[in-house]
Amino acid sequence: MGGYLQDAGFYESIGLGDQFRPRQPKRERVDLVHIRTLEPFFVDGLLDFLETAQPFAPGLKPSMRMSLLELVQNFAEHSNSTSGAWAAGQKYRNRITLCLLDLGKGIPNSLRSVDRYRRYGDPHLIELASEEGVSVATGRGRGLSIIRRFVRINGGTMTIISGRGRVRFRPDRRPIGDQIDGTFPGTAVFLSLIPTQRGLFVLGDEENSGTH
Amino acid sequence: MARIEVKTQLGNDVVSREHGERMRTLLEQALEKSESVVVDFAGMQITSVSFFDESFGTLAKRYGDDLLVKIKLEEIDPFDLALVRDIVASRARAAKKTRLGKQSAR
Repeated sequence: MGGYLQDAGFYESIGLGDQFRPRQPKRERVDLVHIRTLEPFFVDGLLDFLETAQPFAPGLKPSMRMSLLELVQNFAEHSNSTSGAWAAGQKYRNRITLCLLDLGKGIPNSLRSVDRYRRYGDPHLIELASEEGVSVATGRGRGLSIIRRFVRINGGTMTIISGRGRVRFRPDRRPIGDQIDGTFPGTAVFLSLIPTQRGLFVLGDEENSGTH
Repeated sequence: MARIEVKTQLGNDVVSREHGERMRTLLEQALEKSESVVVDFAGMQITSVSFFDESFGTLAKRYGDDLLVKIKLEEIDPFDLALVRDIVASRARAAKKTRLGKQSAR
């Protein structure tokens, strides 16, 4: 992850450029974008770039647009970040990787404001946040759960890092959670997708819409 | 029958939860006046969970699965239709579960 953020220019944008020198770019990528409001043109621009680098399978683009819009919206709503959020994307081999992150409150801290979640560790809370219906007081916990389902159908992966926790979501496996060294002051979500997989995301009919 | 034209009444870039609130207000007003409502999505591909959840999902908590009997969706993109159906079914299911939980607690 460090090299990816380094390549994307994240450390420079938060004033730590001296400690993390950018490497020579080797991959087709979208440079880091700083997002302060939910702007669909950013998402559409990112998707257009990625589609140029690697044509999408039919039906994939709406699912990807939905996932990105939802991630950006979630960041805008839940992070309490005063500095906005950052996003970047790249094509690497047959995959495209997207990353969104903020330096806000973080998922574990947000969930711990609710009594019933107070005793759980950070990885467990991140996993809970990706389940349908789990959200802080508002009942808005659909975003990550839908993205998680989409990524699974596409045969991709999602990794969420927040606070001291990291959870990896992979197809056909249970989520794997662990603690990271140190603390990430916010939330970072990494999606890795195979754009040539059919991955058609027919909600409510997932059993019939597996990857081909 | 009341009619809502999304592009005309909400604009081209309909993605956020705030847009969803405006849509919900339009739907509530229309349902107060009429038994059924037609929502015309011509020329739109929305693909936003937040928008549909705030509008249709919130109303599904009140009306349950019947919501999509009262509201006819016209010219809607197939992906958006799948998304709306999924959200309405999920919110209706959750609301029913909550109601049953409260009844059994009495």
